[in-house]
Amino acid sequence: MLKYTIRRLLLLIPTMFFVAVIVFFLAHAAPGSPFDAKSVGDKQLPLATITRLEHLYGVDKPVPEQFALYLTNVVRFDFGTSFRSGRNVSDIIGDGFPVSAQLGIQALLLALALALPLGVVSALKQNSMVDYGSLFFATVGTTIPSFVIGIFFIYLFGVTFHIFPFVGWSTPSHWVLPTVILALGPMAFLTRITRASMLEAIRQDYVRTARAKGLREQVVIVTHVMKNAMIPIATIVGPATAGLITGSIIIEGLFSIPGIGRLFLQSILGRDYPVIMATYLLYAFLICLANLSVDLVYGVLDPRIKLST
Amino acid sequence: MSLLEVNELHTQFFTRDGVVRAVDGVTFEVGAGETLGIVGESGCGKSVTALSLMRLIPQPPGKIVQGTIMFDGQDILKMDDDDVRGIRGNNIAMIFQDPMTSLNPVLTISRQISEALELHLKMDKSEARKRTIELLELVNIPSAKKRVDDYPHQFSGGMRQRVMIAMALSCNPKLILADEPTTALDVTIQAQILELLKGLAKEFRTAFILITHDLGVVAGMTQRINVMYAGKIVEKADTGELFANPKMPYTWGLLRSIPRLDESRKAKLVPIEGLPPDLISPPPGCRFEPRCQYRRDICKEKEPELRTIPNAKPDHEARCWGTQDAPGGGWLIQTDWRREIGDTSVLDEIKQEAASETATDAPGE
Amino acid sequence: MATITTTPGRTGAERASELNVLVRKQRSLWQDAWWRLRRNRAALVGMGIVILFMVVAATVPLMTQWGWFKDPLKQDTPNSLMEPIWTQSKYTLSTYPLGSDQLGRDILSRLLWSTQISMLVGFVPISIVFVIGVSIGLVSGFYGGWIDQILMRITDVVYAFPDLLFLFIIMATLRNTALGDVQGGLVLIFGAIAFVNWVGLARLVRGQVLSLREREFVEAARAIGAPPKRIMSRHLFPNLLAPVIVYVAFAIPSSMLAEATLSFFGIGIKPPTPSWGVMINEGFVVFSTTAWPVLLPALCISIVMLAFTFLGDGLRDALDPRMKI
Repeated sequence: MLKYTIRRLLLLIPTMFFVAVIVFFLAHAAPGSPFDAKSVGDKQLPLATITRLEHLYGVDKPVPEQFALYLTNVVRFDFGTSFRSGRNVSDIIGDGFPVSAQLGIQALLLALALALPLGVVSALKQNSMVDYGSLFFATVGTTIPSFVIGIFFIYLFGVTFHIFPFVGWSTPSHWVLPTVILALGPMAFLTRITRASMLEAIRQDYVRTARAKGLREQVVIVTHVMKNAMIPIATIVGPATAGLITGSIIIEGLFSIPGIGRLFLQSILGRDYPVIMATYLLYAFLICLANLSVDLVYGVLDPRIKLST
Repeated sequence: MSLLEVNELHTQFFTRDGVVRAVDGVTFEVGAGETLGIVGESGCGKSVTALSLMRLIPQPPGKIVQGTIMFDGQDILKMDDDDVRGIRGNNIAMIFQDPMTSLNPVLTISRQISEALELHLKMDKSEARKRTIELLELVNIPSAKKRVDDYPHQFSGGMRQRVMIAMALSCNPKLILADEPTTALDVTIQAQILELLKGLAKEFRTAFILITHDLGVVAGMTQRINVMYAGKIVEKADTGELFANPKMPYTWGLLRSIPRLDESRKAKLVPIEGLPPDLISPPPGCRFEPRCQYRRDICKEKEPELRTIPNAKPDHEARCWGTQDAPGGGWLIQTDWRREIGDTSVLDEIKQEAASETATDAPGE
Repeated sequence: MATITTTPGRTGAERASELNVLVRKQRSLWQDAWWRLRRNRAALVGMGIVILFMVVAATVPLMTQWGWFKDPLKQDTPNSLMEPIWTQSKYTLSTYPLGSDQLGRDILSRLLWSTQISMLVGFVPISIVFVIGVSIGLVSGFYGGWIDQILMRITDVVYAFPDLLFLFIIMATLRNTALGDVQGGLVLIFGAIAFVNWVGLARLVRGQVLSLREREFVEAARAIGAPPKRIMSRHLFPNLLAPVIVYVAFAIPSSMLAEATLSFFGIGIKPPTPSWGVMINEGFVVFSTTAWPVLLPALCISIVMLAFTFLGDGLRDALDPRMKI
């Protein structure tokens, strides 16, 4: 298993390379200069200044050359300096990452804490009020866009009732709304998956065998059913984090949270290439890890799976 | 008194299309240490009977609506849930048909066998483990000590079925229900498993109910046989008697459709034409009538009862107007079923009706 | 189930009762699925709403031409930020039934025109995805070998791009180019969404083909000498349709959602073309003054997405009733 993990991690490198290539060339395909006010809606700089800035940041070189240069820097973990703020990109990301990580982890934990029990109960009491309620909630949560729900919540709890603040990340009470909204999507999705997985497991023949041995229903459910049902659920958590990542961009934008998501948005709109590249590569890496985790979790939980080396 | 006495058992399933009368009035008994065979085609109610004995019928669609099941003097159907659970796996155990799906893939077999031991015999973990290894050796699993912590998928089909047998035997039950234990296995393994079961029955004096559609299996294994059709028992006899002197056209049809070593190679197999009836609205008369080439009008009008018959052993019963000595019946009492295959015009009629059924099935259906 | 043919002198019912066979109408698998779908009320409601919106989308240019609704692009600043008529504050005008936005444009007509955009965004990219995804998935799954290997490597790389992020980048960088100007930014959006989504369908189809390929009916088709193209189109394709239909049913709202999100962040449809996301983006600015310019399009999106989801769920239950998700 260790060999498998290492092999997969090494495979990440060519993948990341392709990602870097595509994003780099795409970003540079945008017409105009990053220092040109027209594209960034800022104060217009005199032409001479623009040319000098372009030369300073190496933007006037041909794109493939820029890419090669970029790669040599990345290998030394130098991600360049931001065009907009002049700060070291690594520093900027270092500032934003903890915020986003905290938001993401909180949301994931909240989602799991609510979705798993809800899904299990819902499966056990099929067609009851709890079941319909959780199905309804799951449907709404996966259907209505998160920013729409976010807006509704802001309107309700922020503007009308002034319970929670909705701009920034300074106090714990600032954490509430963003975490809840970010958790909703994954929570709804996980509830559905849990319910489906439980229902599937309960119908299996080995459950009948367990009952035929005289085991109490509780034991049957916990030991026999849930152990099997949790396998697909655990593997979903990996890709669910990908959803959390994209969700965090939206949420951070909506609530003005100083995390990587908002950084990403701003850098795209502001044509800040180094920041775009760095954040995108970071995201891609996290997602690859999440996808890799699916296979690893499978290998651990399901004795039938043998990870090929 | 017998170990198990089933009386007028009715199990039904309530579906959107109607009430399916899966077991429609079944009465039989099994003595201690005896092996009873229940034979019939798919859908005749034999598995449902077995599941009903342990009250394992899933409650929303299914329900045992009538009857008594006396086990060791107590009516299982009147027990409360905890008592029934106490019997399951303990006094009555079950072996299921498909060992691949009937074993939990994520638990070791040691765990799965020990569960019952810890629950019913109150063993602790180490005792249970020792006993588990003993059981595995009893069912001829090689290197039992090493394999006890393996998972089901690491065993072959035959071995998995042995594991299931070991699981069933674990608490020394008085009765084991074996639901098509060899159907999912290939023929050579079948023979081994059956030998194993026979040996265990003799050694531990366990009663068995062996459920199968394969007459060859029951021939070597059972002392008595119940033949079931469309939710009812249509013939009951000792094994030898049933094969030598069957007294019901359905049984005749079954026996005719088995290839025999002593027949000429060119002899044709004679199948039973037609399909079993719909159990939601069964016909008013004999349920086998539409497919029976010996039928008469009375067969369509009234359903025959299961009664003893002339020209047979005293405890041999059959559900057929033709072979019973009853008013309106008895035209088959003297029939030698091996030679007389009934009225050819009726045979043609049945063949036609069966053909028209299948011919009008839409292609690609 | 069989139908009973009659012979002279006996009705079908009599023969049926004789054979004691339940007479049920013959049903093909598709009819079966349709019957199951019809019994699902939520799905029917969803389907009704979807059809309603499609009709609106198709007829809205006509209706505006006939003067039923105001021009969605016509600005009328003195009448800006009117409230919908049901609030009955002093800020309502009967000519603005749902109010107006900060540039005086009629919200009702903008909502209706957005329907057209959303429907286009829902259906056009998915059609592209369908054609490309199914073809590639079929070929890859059927032939295997190096074609399959290449496809799997490509999908691995694309999987590393979370959809939304990649869409963001594509839109942000290309929308000011010539490509982005075609049809008010629509072609770029269609292309971007299709580009990001074809992989999922290709993988799904490939997986289905891999499992179907080993089934006996394919072996039988090969045995009678059917050429690969025929096997793929006649035998494999119809059996793929069920999960593909479900995929498509959920991909359509997902596509709409992507557009709404992009537009909300200002990198989607180019104003002044209205779309629900654009309207929310514009309305967010005046959120504290009046919430209606945001709430109304948000409501529209929610309704349509819910409708598609119920329909998609219904289709999934109808086409494969064993799945219980």
